[in-house]
Amino acid sequence: MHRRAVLRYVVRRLAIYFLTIFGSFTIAFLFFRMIPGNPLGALLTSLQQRSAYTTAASQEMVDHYTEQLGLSGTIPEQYFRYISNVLFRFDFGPSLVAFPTPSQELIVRALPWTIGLLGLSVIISWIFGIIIGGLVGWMRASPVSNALTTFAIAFSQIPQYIVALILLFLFAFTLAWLPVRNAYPANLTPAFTLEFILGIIKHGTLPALAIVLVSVSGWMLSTRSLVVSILGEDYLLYAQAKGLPRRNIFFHYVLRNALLPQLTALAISLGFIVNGALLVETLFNYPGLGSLLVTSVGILDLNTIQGIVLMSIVAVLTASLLLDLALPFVDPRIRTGG
Amino acid sequence: MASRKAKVQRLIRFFLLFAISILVVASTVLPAVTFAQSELPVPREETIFLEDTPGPFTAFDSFNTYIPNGNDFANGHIQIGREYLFLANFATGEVEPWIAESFEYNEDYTQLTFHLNPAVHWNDGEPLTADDMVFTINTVLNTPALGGAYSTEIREFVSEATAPDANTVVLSLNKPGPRFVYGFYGQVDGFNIMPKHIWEGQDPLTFKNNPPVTTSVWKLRDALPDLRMFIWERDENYWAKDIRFPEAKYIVYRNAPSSTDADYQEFVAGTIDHAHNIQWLQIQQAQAESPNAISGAFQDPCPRGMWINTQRYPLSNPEVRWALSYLVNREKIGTVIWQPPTVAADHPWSDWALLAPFLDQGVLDEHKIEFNPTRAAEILDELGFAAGADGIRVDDQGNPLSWTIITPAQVGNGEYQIAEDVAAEAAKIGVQLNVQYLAGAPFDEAINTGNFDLTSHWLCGAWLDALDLYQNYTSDRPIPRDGQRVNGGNWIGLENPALDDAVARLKVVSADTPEAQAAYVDALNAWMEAMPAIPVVQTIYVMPWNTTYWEGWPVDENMYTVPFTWWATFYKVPFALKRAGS
Repeated sequence: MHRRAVLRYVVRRLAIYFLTIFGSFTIAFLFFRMIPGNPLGALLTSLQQRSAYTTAASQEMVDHYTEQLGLSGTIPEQYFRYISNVLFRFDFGPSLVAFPTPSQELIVRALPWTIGLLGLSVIISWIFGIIIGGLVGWMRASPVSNALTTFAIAFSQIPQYIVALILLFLFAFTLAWLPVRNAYPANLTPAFTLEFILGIIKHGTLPALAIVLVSVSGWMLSTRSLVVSILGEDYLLYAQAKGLPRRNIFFHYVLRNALLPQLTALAISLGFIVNGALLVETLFNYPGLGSLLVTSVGILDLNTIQGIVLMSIVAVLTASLLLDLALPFVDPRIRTGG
Repeated sequence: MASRKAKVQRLIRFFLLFAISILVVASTVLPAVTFAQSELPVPREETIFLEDTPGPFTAFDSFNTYIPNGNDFANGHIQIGREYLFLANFATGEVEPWIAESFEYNEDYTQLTFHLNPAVHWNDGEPLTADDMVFTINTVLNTPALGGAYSTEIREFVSEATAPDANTVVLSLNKPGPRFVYGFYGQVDGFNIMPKHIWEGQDPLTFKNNPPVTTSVWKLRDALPDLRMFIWERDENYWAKDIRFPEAKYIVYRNAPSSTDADYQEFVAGTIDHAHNIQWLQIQQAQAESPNAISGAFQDPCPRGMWINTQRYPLSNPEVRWALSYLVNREKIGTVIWQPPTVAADHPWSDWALLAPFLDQGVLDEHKIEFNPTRAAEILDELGFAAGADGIRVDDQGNPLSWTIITPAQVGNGEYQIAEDVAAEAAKIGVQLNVQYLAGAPFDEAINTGNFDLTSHWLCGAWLDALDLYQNYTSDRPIPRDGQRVNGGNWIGLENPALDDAVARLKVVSADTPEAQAAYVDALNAWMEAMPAIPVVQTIYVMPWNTTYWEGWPVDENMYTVPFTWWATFYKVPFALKRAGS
C-alpha cells in the first residue's frame, strides 16, 4: 500500500513537473514574440550604420536570416519548430549575438561560471546565514543579537552592485589585495592545475563576497524569525527540563526544525542562479549568463533568450521537484497520503 | 551559563572592533591607488592596451564580417586586423593608397580599374593578387544573402569583375558609378578582400574565418572568451615592414568596465592606454590628476539632429518644419547640454574639411538656421494655427499641434535632453512635444514603419560626399506606408522633386566637375528649403590616452588620423606610437 502511494505521488509530481515546464515555456515564448521590434531589422540597420552606408539590406539577405533565425512563418509554426528542435536535437537555434554560433554553445560556455560563482555564493551565504541567524535568534535578548539583526536588516536592502563597487575600490584599487576583474588570471591557460584553481578562487572572491554579504543578511533574518517562532514550543521546554545541554538543544531541536523551510528556500534559490547576477558579472567582467542574457535582450536575440529562460524554468522546477521527492524522506512527519 | 554567554559576546565584540580597525588603518596608510597591475597574457610594456564598448564581446571564434554578428565589431579585426585598398583619412582630408596603388574610371564611369600593390602578401605568406579581389566580388555577386561592407552596393553596380593581370582588377558597372569607388576606402569599415585560398570552397554564410588571414601587420594571437579580450600580435613578416612597422608587439582590445569609476581608476593608473567608458568631466579630472593623461577630440560624421516624418500633416509642410527648427537653441544645447561643449550645426553633416566643397554659403545664408521662437510663432500664426482653449495650437484640420519625439537615447543622455529642451521651447508657443525613449529594436521598428512624428538622434549620411545623404531620401526610394516596414529606405517619406532632380544629375557625374558643383548647390538648396531633418549640434568625441607606456597618440595638436578606436582609420595609430621616453 505504502509503496503504491509513493509511486502514485512520484508519478503525479513528475506529470506536474513536465506540464509546468511546457506551460511556462509556452507563455515565455509567446511573451517574447510579442515584444515590439524586429530583431533582424534593428541589427541590419546598425550594421549598415557601422559600414557608413545606408543602402537598404537586400530582401534576399533579410529573407535568408529570417529563415536561419527561426523567425519565418506564423507564431505557432515558429513555436512547434522550436520545440521539436529543442526536444529532438537539443538545438536552440543560431544565436544573433554571435551568428552562426548556436545559442546552446553560448549558454554552455557561460553556464559553469554562473553556477560556480552563484552556486557557491548561495551555498556559502546559506550556511553562514543559517548559523548566524540561528545564534541570533537563540540569543535574541542580547545586545549583540540586536545589533546583528539591525545590521542585517540594513545590509539586506543594499543592492549587490553597490556592495560590489565598495569592495572593488577597497580591496582591488586601494589595498591591491585582489584582482579588479576577470574570472581567472589572464596569464594562465585554463587547465586543471592548482595554480589555475587558486587563480579562479582569487578572482571569484570579490564578486562572491558582494553576493554573500547581501544574501547572508537575508538568510540570517529568515532563520532568526523561524528560530524565534520555535523557541516557544513545548518540546524545547521539555528538553530543557530534562537537563539536556544547551548546545544539544540548539543544534538538534531548534536549528533542525528551522532547517526544513530553509532547505526548500535554498533549493529554489539554487534554481534561480541560472539567471545570473547581471550587475556583479558586468562589474567584474565575469563571463556568466547574466550579461549574456542582457546582451541578448538588447538586440532581441530570441533564440538565446529563450534558451536561457528555458534553462531557468527547468532548473527551478527541477529543484522544486527534487525537494518534493526528497522531503518525505527527510521529514518523517510529511505523509504522501494513501 | 551566564558567564559563558558573556564571554562569547565579549569575543564577538573584540573581533568586530579588530576587523574594523585593521580596515581603517590599512585604507589610510596604504597609497591611494596601488591596485594590482592588470593581468595581461603578454608583456605590458610591449602592448598597446585598448578597450571599447562596455557591451560584452560575444563572438570569439568567428571573424566573418559578411554575416550578422559574424564578427564582434570592436574586437580589433576591422580596426587593426585587416587592411583596405585605400584609407580615407578624414583628419587630413586625404585618401591614402594602401593595398591598392591607384584606380581610374573610364569616360562614362561604367568601368572602374584598380591597380594593386604587387608587394602585398597575406600574413600566411601567400601573395595577394587580383584573383583574390575578383573572387571576393564574385562571391558577393553570387550570394545575395551576403552582407558586410558594401555588398549591397556591389550587387547593385557590378556586372562583372576580371583580372587582366596579377595586379589589375577591372570592374564593369551596369550603370554609371562615379562614386562607387568610395566603398573601397577604409573608413569605419570598408570593402575587404577575401583570401581566395582560404575562402574558396567554404560557405560564406557560415564560414567562421578563424583565425583571419589578412595583410595586416597584426595577426590574431588569442581570443579569450572568459576574459573578453582579443590579443593581436605583430607579424614579423609584414609586407611593408621596410616602410612602416610598429614598435609595439601586441595590441589588446577588451571590453571597457561597465563602471565608469573603475575605468577611470585603471586609466589614471596607466593600466590601460585608452579608457572608453569615461565621460568628458572624468577626462578633465584625469588630466588634472595625472600628467600622463592626454586627449584628442574629433567630430563624429553625424551631427545630432531631429528627423521629421514628412508624410504626416502638418509636419508635411516645410514651413512647420522650419518653425520647429527655430525652436532649437543650439548655443545653449552646445554649451550646456552636450558634453564636451560643441558648436551649432547649420548643415546636415559634420564640419570636416573633406565635406566643405559641398556647402554653399549663399544657400546657408538664404536658409539661415537660428534660434528664433518669435519667428516660429509667426509662421504658425501665418498658417492659421491658433491656440485652442487649452493653449495648444490647432491646425486647419482641427488637430492639435501635439507630437511625440522618439529617441534611442535614455533619459539624461544628450539626445534625450535635446528633445526635452526643444519641447520646453515649443510649449511656450503652444506646441506640445512629448519625449519618449525607445530602445534599439522598437525605435528601429518605429522609424522603418513610418510610425513616428519626430526623432532626436544622429543625423547621419554624408561621409565622403553629400550625395551619400541626399540619395537616401529621394522619391524613388521605398517609403513606409500604412505601417509597412522598409529596410533602410526613405523612412522620413520625403518627396521633393527638386532634390530628386539634383540627385539624378549628381549620380552620373564626378564630384569635381562643374555640372556636379551646380547640382550640389541645387541639392543643398532643396534640402534646406524642405528641412526634413533639423541639424542641432556637431558631435565631438574626446578620446583619452595615457602616455605611461606609449607616446604619439592623435591629439588636437597633431591629429594625423581619425582617433576613434573603433574605426578602420585607427590602423595608422600603432605605427605612430613610440615607447614613452624613447
